[in-house]
Amino acid sequence: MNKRSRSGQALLVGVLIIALLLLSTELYVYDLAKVIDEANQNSLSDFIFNVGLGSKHVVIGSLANISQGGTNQTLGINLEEWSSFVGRQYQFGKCILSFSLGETSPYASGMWISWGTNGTGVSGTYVNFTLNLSDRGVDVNLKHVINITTTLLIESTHKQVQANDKQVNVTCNVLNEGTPALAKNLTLYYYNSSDWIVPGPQSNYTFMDYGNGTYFMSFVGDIPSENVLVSAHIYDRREIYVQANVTSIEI
Amino acid sequence: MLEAFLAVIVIFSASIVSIKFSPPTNFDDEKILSISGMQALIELDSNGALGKLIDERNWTALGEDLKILLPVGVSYNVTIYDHAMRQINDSTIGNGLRGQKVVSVEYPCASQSSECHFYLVRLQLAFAG
Repeated sequence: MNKRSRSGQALLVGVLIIALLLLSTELYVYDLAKVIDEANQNSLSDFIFNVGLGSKHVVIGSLANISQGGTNQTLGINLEEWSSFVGRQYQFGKCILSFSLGETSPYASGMWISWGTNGTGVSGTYVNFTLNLSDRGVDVNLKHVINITTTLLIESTHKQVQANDKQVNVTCNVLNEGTPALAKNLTLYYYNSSDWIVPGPQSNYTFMDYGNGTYFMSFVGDIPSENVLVSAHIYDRREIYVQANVTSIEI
Repeated sequence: MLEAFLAVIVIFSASIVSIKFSPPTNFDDEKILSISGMQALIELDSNGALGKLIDERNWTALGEDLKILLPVGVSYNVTIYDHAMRQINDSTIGNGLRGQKVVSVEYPCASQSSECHFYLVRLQLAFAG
């Protein structure tokens, strides 16, 4: 009887070990499956990220176009086309990318172009986006804002050298979305009472790029007027154009 | 007799639990390829380089950049379509697609240029060998 009881207990222990092995294997497989779910979510989040990135490129390209003389409608037209294009590419259901152009001051039709005479120039844009993705398993409604701004700050001082000749120093700072950024091209002008002149070697022109979005220029110009007007025109690395004028301060 | 009955109950319960919580297991090479391809394209597009290379029709540089961004041992082939879904690359971009399982990743791309072009990048990937 005791022998039978022991063999029964051994059978139970064996069965329990088998059950534990079965369950632990299942737990491992279940953990792997969680990774699958994460992977599926990744493809959705990749598409959302992809659309956000593309929208940003469209906004930057449109701002570059408008700042270089394109019409203000360019932004809306380009975004309409992009929304339509993206809507056709989503394969898992319905995708609607809608947008509204910023109309809160200083923006009008999503644009803010202010090339002032106070030493500050701004080319900016502000667009609200809503991305709606829906299919059998997912219903996503995301809102985000894209605000692209290129700012040029210019300061100038001058001193009289002799007769009408003035030694002029100019410092320019370029900012993208408020942080220092590099310019692709920078052109400086000064007003000689009749024309805007680009200082060259004959004006002892020197140019220094600090590599951090700050540029220093110096020249000697024949400027009869007491007021020395200086203007800087730049293209940033994204091809966005901005200009700013300032009246130089005599030192 | 009782022990045998209990053993059957335990095994049966464990089997039921296993079957009930058994998820579909398809985390395989296709998923890895798909994620790698999408990540490579996003990386290339993050600073606008992808659209710029397509604008410039610089297929060699595009192929080289993808080769760097994709994992070693992955073969790939890229086809680029314009907004009207016309193929625009006139030469092969890739390192010769070879492998048993081929995965395709599609990526809508906008160029950052002032003329704003839209493209669909179709990246096909396979584990070589």
